[in-house]
Amino acid sequence: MGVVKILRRALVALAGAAAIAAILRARGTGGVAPQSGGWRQISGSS
Amino acid sequence: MDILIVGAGVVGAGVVNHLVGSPSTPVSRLAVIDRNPDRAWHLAEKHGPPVTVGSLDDAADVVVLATASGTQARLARRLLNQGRVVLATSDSVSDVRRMLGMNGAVRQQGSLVVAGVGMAPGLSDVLAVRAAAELERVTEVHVAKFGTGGPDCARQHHRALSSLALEWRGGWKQRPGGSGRELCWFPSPVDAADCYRAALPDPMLLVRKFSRADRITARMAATRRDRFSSWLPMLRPPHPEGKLGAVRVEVRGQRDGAWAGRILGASGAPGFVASSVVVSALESIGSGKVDGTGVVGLSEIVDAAEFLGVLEGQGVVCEEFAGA
Repeated sequence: MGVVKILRRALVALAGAAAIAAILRARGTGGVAPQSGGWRQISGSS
Repeated sequence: MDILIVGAGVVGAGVVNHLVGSPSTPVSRLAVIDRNPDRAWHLAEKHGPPVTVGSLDDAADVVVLATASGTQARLARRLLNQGRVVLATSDSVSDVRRMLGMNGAVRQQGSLVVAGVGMAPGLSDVLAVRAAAELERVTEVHVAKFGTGGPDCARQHHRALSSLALEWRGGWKQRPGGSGRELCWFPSPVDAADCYRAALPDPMLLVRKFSRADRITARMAATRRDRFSSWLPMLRPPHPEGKLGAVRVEVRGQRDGAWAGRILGASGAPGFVASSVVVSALESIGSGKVDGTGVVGLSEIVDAAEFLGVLEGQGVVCEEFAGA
């Protein structure tokens, strides 16, 4: 009975860890977009 | 110049279209091969001479490899001939690694293999060299790319995101693909996109030019769904051709004793940009500005400023990010 309990707890812990990892992987945090400036064309030699 | 193009997909057909309409690269024969013979016949029929259907045994001064990534190192080895130039468009780490490993054999043959002649690697390397021109010491080079060309390119994108990424940090380090999210700002119309580490060969080629740099990295744009499903088979067939693409290179270092940096980029459909890079390289070869033997990256054989000027003539405009 004890073994089953340990296994069940391990499975719950694994499932919880997997769910948290999936959420972090899918969401995470992005960077900060540039606040000023932009792209300007350059000619090949500049 | 006698040219053999292996692969008549988005990039191969794009090279043919560019060359047929461009008087600046004199072509005596343009032979095309594809795993699907109908595609090669269709191209030859559409354009007429000098475009013909070729074979792998054809004599040619220059061979352009525009097949799926992962097949090009084997083809490059097979097509090596005395004094021949091979331009490989592959963005596969294994292709580039195997090609760089062929350096001794290629030198012995007196041939030249240019590994990574596309948007990234290719244009990315040239932009990095151009951006580094005003720096006394380069400490970091960061490449990011957005978009894919044809279906084979999309499959490679999918594989790269689930494979180990190579980074240079004074030595090679492996990082999990899909990690290291960074918001990168590309030239319009792409603008901002989240980019992740992936199995990209750019650092392997850039380290040859910037061996004293502390960090050389490469990332590619991906959506959360791409990132989450990268370990699965592709959930739906890839698109025939990606219309939106961009590349961005950030170089940091020192100038006059102070820290400085420069960000250069270009945008356009990846297939169009890659074929324009190939045609610009062919133009440099045709005008006798490229010599040497062995396996090299594109930035090692062209003058960066001059090459970007030629590329501009092909319709790919380079831009610089100014701001903070």
